[in-house]
This record gives sequence, structure tokens and C-alpha cells, in this order.
Amino acid sequence: MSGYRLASGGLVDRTRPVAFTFDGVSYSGFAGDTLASALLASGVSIFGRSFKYHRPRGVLSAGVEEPNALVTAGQGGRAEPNTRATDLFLTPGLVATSQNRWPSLGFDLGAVTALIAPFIPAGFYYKTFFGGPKLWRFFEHFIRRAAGLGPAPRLADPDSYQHRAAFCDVLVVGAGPAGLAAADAAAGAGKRVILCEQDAIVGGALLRDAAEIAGLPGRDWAAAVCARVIAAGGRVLLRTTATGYHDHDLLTLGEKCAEPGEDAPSLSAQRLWRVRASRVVLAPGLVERPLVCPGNDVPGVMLSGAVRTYVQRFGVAPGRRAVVAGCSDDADRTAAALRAAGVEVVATIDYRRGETLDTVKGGNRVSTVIASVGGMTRSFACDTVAMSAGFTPSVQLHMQAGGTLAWHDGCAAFVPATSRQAQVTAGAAAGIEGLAAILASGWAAGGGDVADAPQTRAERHCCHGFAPPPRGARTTAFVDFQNDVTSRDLDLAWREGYRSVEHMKRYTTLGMATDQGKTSNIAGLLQLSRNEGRPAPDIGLTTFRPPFTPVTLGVLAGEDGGLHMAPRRVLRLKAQHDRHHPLWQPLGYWHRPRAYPRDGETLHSAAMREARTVRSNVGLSDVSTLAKFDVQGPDAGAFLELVCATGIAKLAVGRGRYTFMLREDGMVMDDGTVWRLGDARYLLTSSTGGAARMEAHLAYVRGVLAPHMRVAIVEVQEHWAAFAIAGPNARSLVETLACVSAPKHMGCLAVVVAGVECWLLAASYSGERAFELYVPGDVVVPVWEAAEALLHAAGGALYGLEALELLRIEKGHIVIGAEATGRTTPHDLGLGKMLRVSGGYCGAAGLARPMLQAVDRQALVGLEADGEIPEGAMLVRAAGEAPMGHVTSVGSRVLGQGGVALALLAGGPARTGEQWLATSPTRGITVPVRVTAPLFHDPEGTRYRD
Amino acid sequence: MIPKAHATVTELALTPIIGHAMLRLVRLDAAQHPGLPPPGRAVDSAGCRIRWVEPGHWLATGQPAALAAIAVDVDLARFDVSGSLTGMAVIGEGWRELLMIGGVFDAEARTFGPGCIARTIMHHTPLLIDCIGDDRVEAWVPPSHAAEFFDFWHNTVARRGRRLSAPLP
Repeated sequence: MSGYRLASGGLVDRTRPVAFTFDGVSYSGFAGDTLASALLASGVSIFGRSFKYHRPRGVLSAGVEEPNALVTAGQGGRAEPNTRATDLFLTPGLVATSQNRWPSLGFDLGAVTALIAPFIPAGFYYKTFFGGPKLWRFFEHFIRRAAGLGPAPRLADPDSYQHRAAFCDVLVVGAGPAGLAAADAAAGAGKRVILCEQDAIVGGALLRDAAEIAGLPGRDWAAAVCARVIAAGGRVLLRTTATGYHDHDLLTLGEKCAEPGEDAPSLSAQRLWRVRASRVVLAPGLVERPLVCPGNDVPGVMLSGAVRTYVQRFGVAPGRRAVVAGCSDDADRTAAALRAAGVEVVATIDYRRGETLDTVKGGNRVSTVIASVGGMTRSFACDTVAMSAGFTPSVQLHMQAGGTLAWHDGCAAFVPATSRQAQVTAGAAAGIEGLAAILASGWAAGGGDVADAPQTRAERHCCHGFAPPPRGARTTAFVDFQNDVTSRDLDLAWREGYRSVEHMKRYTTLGMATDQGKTSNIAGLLQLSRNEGRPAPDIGLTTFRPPFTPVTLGVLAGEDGGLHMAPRRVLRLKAQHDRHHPLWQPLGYWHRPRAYPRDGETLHSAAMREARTVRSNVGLSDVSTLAKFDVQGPDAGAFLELVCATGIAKLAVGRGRYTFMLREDGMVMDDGTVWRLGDARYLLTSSTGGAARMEAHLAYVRGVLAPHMRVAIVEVQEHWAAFAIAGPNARSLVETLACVSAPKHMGCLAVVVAGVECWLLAASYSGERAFELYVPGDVVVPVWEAAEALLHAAGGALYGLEALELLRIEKGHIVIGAEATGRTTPHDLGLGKMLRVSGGYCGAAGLARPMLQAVDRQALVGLEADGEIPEGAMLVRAAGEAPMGHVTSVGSRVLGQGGVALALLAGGPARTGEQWLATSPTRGITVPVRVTAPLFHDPEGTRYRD
Repeated sequence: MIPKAHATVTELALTPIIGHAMLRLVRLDAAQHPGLPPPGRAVDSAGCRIRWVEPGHWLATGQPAALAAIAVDVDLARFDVSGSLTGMAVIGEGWRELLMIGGVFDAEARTFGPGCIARTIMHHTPLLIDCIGDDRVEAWVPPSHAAEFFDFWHNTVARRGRRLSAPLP
């Protein structure tokens, strides 16, 4: 016996058949069917295999709480594993595949684990697999193959995903009666309303149980409410699940624009909404609990409400002979619905009368039910069991919002108590019974006057009740269906001392599957409560964390995939660089040329050629990414003396100097140059990577330390493109380019190049005579091309970051992040003599702390060796000793042989001449090095001066 | 005005803004300057458009001659920032929808209308939004971000987005 399609009834569109396949077999359903309803209608009983024991499993529910019927929807890169068949609406050509079975769903070799079930209870892996690492690697191979459910796709995902912001006065989660009433009230009051519903149509329980509301059939009333919300400018989002409730009333909603596995290239497959609401109405309803008894997982055993949903909404009878077992009026409604559909109800088992469902028997399908009825043990032949152990309010979002819970005896579950944010829970989720009261609570939650709430004449059905946990542990009395956790496992955990709800969860894995314990948490709590002899409220619950239901990594990534995984900041001169086929280097979000290899050069050989060209002739390098700040005003100099730790005020117009900036604690934060362009105008430059940090620091100094100063600071990083011209022939190139006499070292001059007004700054990072030309970014191309033409005519070369590194390391010039680590002072870096004696700069007080004057602090040194020095290597006196420093930057002698490096070493310059070892245990390299001054080229400094 | 719920991004045109010079006007004491727009506002004045961008800072765009004519006094400093921003005009009623995608700013707020300015982050990019009219907004981003950012917008407009108000059940 199996399910079948009823001749009539249901909300599916029987005029629109939809073809799909499941495990390669073709089936047909109707528009509006879920995969579960369509397969049930086609007589399919087994939907999957359980996680641990590979027991055949049918569908348990009709909603997102489904623990059994997990399938892979779609194919190739679009395949979405672990999709609940109850939450997957049919689309033409849907390809669905069962999971966790081999070779097939009907014959699964994994089922042999059921034979050894008594030996592999919960937590068995904490007591087995002992032995050495090699033995574990043997076990690991089999465990990894057995672990997990659906396979992750191996091909690239062809779908696109989107992130969208939204703001509203009232966000209503759930479009059942309470949510609809709340949205109606709020929209009527002129509020901006967003109503979200994870189903494909609104109505909630109204889709299962007919009712009249405000004089209309329930579904018609629901449609009218949606129309009013939209007419008032609101939004109704279907197939949209509230996945998380975060701080400050920010909720994330996951919208399925296409069904899982659906090929819809013109759409974003899924959309993540970030909604900021002034008020949130949570109306997520209830989740039904299964009875815990042996055989409660046999295919054909379903939740009572789900049975009614399949009959009333989808026009599907789950079977032909049913037993209904429950603990409230709701089970009676299921029995009535089955009878009306022509299904024989062979027995109703009512826990309110002391009756119990004791055992379900069957292999691939229910065959018999053993129950205690009327004081006797009776057997009933059947093919379907509709069971209910009560209803659990969905409190997950309320708890995520920081709300507290209170125990509700009627539900035997927790309901929301106090709210910490702007959320209010309405309807059944708040523990309210009866449609009239549910409508009234929703209406009030939406801000309406209860007197104006929509009216109904529906009978008040009691759905509150609970079935106590079974006595006596059984290996097939499942509590958590998805993780195969049984009642026996919970008792075992308790006997072994895991008696807090947190320990019970982690030891047994109850509630840790993809359904997050929606159908099992309360049952586990009640059993623990009985074992402990303490009330359930005293036991408590584990923490609910987002997402409420599983979300795809794709929707979390949104547009940030592929080439857009991280933002790319592009140089103005990218096209000019691309002509020379550079190797591009990511530097934060920037992409800069690392080197310009020619004719099969390696990176190192290209960099060495470029560096040697700079040392012997002339080179051109794009340094546009440097941070730059235009500082103007009568107090500009004084302001910069607050920011910079070197002298500034005595700079003459047309002069500049190297400078560095400290944090308040005295550590070096950044370095750069400052140029006096006019009486009351300066240009400050600093590192590329620290640009945002420096901008924030300047704003801090301006606003907090110097609010009284008359000064204006504007960040001009992208206004000014910049390139460096460096080498013994740099001066002649610059003079030809700008038709001026080149300024002396650290001089600056306004020039015109190719008709463009520029600034020419005589600064050297490479150690050679050098200049930087600052050109307005929107007109830089002709200037660059003019410079490049002269460069090539002179036999010079473009040089990139790699060559720049080699050059600056030879000169001992520090880099923020490498030598200036955030824990180094100016003294550590050999810059102490440059500190302004008069002080008064940001960080001066912090720098004066005695601990920063200690002689054994790590300080900047140079290292040299015959060969390469490993970057990042530790510095030790002898093998096995504790490191006393590390290598910060490595390079090669540009015009000589051997490796050079900069390092931070305890005791620093005092160790000049000592022999140390640079060792990298992770790479298995140890190199002898000699400590030197951090300067390997032109120690007299003659090459960059005229 | 309640934004139309059914306007879609596919009805938009994206047009680069070219040929404008740009000035940053800054109060030396970070205060509000008389004659310049208040926080969050922009005004057209003598061939220029002047926008408030942060306390004591305004951004003026226009032809160089018009910018040169902007009077400054001892309290106001001028900075040429023509290379700092790249602009794109978004034309069409769906601009509010476009600004909600990948962003965190409430472009659908009834109060954000013509003459309003906002600075926000969208798709990892700092963005200045200038609402010119009911069917036109200008977006300004740093040039280094422009290629990536406007490519993101072009893709969003080109892809036929789903109507955001779902059809009635």
C-alpha cells in the first residue's frame, strides 16, 4: 500500500502537469506540488536513507522541519544537496536524486550498519578508534566516506546571487493568519511593511484547514490582505525565509528566486535581503513533534498535521489504511480529513485518554501498529500512521534576537517571554490557541486596535497537549531522525554522566543536523527532564543560532564570486602597463605591476634586470597608490607637527622631508614625506596600505586633538597619480621632460609637462637620484607617455614592486608591516635621531615610557649571507635555541653577489658582526648569516644627492 | 512619495559623466559656511553643483570657469580634486531599486529626494549619491573602483531582475 492522488481537491493546478525525475525515474506532478507531495502521489514511500544506520526513510512532515526526505536537487554545478523534498516546488525538468545510499535507494549496502546498531550507539567513537596515528588514518578513510549526507557539487556554480538592502517600519515574518493580520494592521496605519513567507503561497495553516475570516474564505482573505499591503507600498516576499535575527533589528532573509536545481539564467537564483526594521512581528507558527516509540521512523509514519496538509492542500492521500495517534483536537481533525478523502481510519489513539502508540512494525512500509487502547494491547494493520506528540512554537528568531523564554505547560514547550530588541511574537508561536485569538494577537502586534481585528466564526480547536517520553529505551525509538539519535542513546548519555542539555546535545548529536532539532529538541528535553527528576524549564535549551534553515554559500557570497571575490582597485595607467605584460600583484585591493618580464624571464631575473637598470641608468615606476593629503590653512604646519614626529615647521617653501607618524602609544604607525608647496599649503604622503588608517588618524587629530586649529585636510590619493623616475640618469630625463632645472634632493617644484600642471618632488626610495612626478589623475596619460618615451630612448626600464623591494632593502628603507610591525618604536628602527626634540607630537608621551627604552628590545639590523636568506626566518644563536628575532625582508645584492636582508633582533645594532642562524623549521631551511648595519648600498648617501 | 513597488532596474540607463572639473571647499574651522548647502543637501549655483559631503566640506562640480568663479574667503580653502571621483548618471525610475542592491542605504525612503546627498558603501565601494530628480541620480566613486563598480551595475541592470513585489497568491 502506498500514497495516491485523490480524484479532486487540493490547491495544485491540475491543468498544468509538471514532469520531473527522481533517481532517474520519470514522474509527473502538478504546478503547486512539492517534490514530496508529487512523489507521495506517485506511490513512492522511501525518500532516503538515514545518516548512521541507513534505515529506509519516508517523508515525515510537509515543511522545512523535514528531517528524512533530503535530496540533491539539480545537476552539475547547480546541484544543491540536502534539499528538503517538502520545501522544493516542482519545476519542469527537475532532476532530484536521493542521498546517502549505495548503490541505490532500494538496495543500500550501508544498511549493514543497522545490524551492528547495538554496538554503535551515540558517542561510540569516543570509545573506539584508539591507536597510533597510522591506525587512525586507516579508520579515517572509511569514516570520511560514511560521513555527511549529500555530495557537494564539483563544478562551478553557473547561477548568480544577489544581496539587497531593505528598510521598513514593520517586518512581519510568517504569512499565516497572525502574520497576515499584523501586516494588514500595519499597512492600514500607513507603515512601510515587508511581509515574508517561506512558502510559495500565503496562508499558513489556512492552506490546510479551511476557515472563514472577515466574511471571506480564508485563502481569499489572505489574498485580499496581500493586495492591501502592496497597494499601500509594502512588499510581500514569497519563498523567503527569515534566516537570522541580528543586532539592532537587522534581519537577513533568504529568497529563492528560482527553485533549487532550476535552470533560470535570467534571474538571480537566490537573493539575500538585509532588512532593517523599526519593529519586527514574528509569526512563524508551530512545528509538530513526532511520537517517540519503536519503529516511529518506518516509511508511512508521518506527522498528523502533515498528513492533513497532503490531503487538503496537495490532494494526496498518504495511504489507504491509517492509524491516527495524538494528544489534542488536532489529531481528530486529521482523522476527519482522512475519512472525508476516502481513507480508512482503522484506529484513533488518544493520549488524553491514557492510550499509547507502543510500536510500529514494517520494513520499507508500515504494516502494523501495536497500541495500548482501552486498557488492552491491540494490533492494527495499516499502511499509514499520522502521529502527534504536540506542537512546539518556533522561538528560534526570538532567541537569536536575545529574547528570553518561558515554559508553557499547555504546549509542553517554551514560548517567547521578554524581548530585548523590537520584536514581538504573535499567534500560535506565542502559545495562543484558536483562530480568533490568533488573528487578534497578530492584529495587535501590527499596531491595530484589537476591537478592529478580523473576525472569524471558526471552531476553537485545542492543539495544546503533549505525549510523554516512552518508558524503557529502544534502539528504534528515534528522537532525532536526521542524526539517528534514539531514546536509548539519550538514556545512555545520561547514565554516562552527560546530564546538562549542552552535554546531551554534543554527546548524542541530538539537534545538530541540518534540521537543527526542530522536531527533536523538546522530546530530548522532556526525556532528560524525566531522567533528572527536574522540571523541563529547569533543564533549559541549547542556543539557537542563525541560520534558521540551511542557506547556500552562494547566497552568502552574493556577487562576490569569481573575479569579483574581492574588490579590485585599478590604476589609471593600467592600459599603459598592460602593453608591457606585467605580472600583476594584489596589494590589498590594488593591483600593481610586480615586474615586467621580457623574453621568458623569471620573476627574479626580471626584477634584477629592472633594479640594475635603476642602479646604472634610469627607471620609471608607477607609485600612484601612495596615500596623499593636501593640508591647507594658517595652522597647517602646526597641525602637521602634531601628526608627524619629525620637524616640519622649519621647512621652507619648496622643500620636503622624510617623516613618520606614531600612534598614541609611541609605536610607528606609518611613514612618508611632507612637502611645503606654499606658505600655508603642504602635501603629506604615506604608505599605500595605511591610507585609510592615516585618513582616520588625521580626522582624529583634527577633530579631537586640534579642534581649535584653522586647517583643512583633504585626502587626494586618487586626485594625484604619481610616478617615480630613479637612477643616475633620472635628472637628465626629468629636465628634458619638464624643461626645468631639476630641484635638489628633497626639493619640490611646480612644472608643466605635456601641457599639464604637475608637481615635481625630488625624493628617493631606491637610493639613487630620484624624482616623483605628481600629475592630476584625470590627465595623467599624456604625461606618462611622454616620460615613457624618454625612458626608452635612454635605454631605461619600467620597474615594478619586486625591483623596488630589492632597491629599498639595500638602502635599509623600512616598509610598514614588515619592519614597522606596530610594535616597533622609532628607536627600534634607527629613526630616533630624527625625532623632534621639542616633542608635542602624537605619541610623544607613549614613547617616553621606560619599557620602550630598554636596550634589549628588538631593533633593526641588516643581515648578509652567501646565498638566499629565508624570509620570515627566526634568528637563533645556535640550533635549538629560542629565537631572538626574525627576518623581515629579504633581497639580493643588485650589483653584487649574495643575499641581504633586514631583520629585527634583540639588542639590534650592538650585535653588528655577530654570526647567527636564520632558521625556518616549516621549510626545513637554516642559513648562517652575519649581522650588519641595515645599509648595503652607498652608505655615504652620495648617489641621491647632486 | 511612496516609491513605486514595481519599478525594475531593467528600465535604467547608465551614462558616464565626463568633462567636469571638481573642487573641494573646506571650512578651516569645520563649521557650516553661509551660502553653502546644509548637511545632506546639494544646490545648483551659477553653473556649478555644490554638494555637502561632510561637516565643513563641500564638493563642487562644473566647468572650470564656473568653479573658478566660486568666491572663497579667509574661512574657506579650495582644493582641486578633479581626479578624485568618477561619475555615472543613473536615469530612470528604477534608480532607487538599483541603489538597494549590494548596498546598505535606504534609497527607498520617501525623504531621500531631489536635492539630497548621501555617502555610503555599496559593493565594497565608497559612493556619493546625488539625487538630481525623480528619475535621475548621480553616483560618484573613486576612479580606481569605477571599472569594477560600474561593471557590477551594468550586470545588475542587464540581468532581468525579478519583480520585487510578488504576484498575488
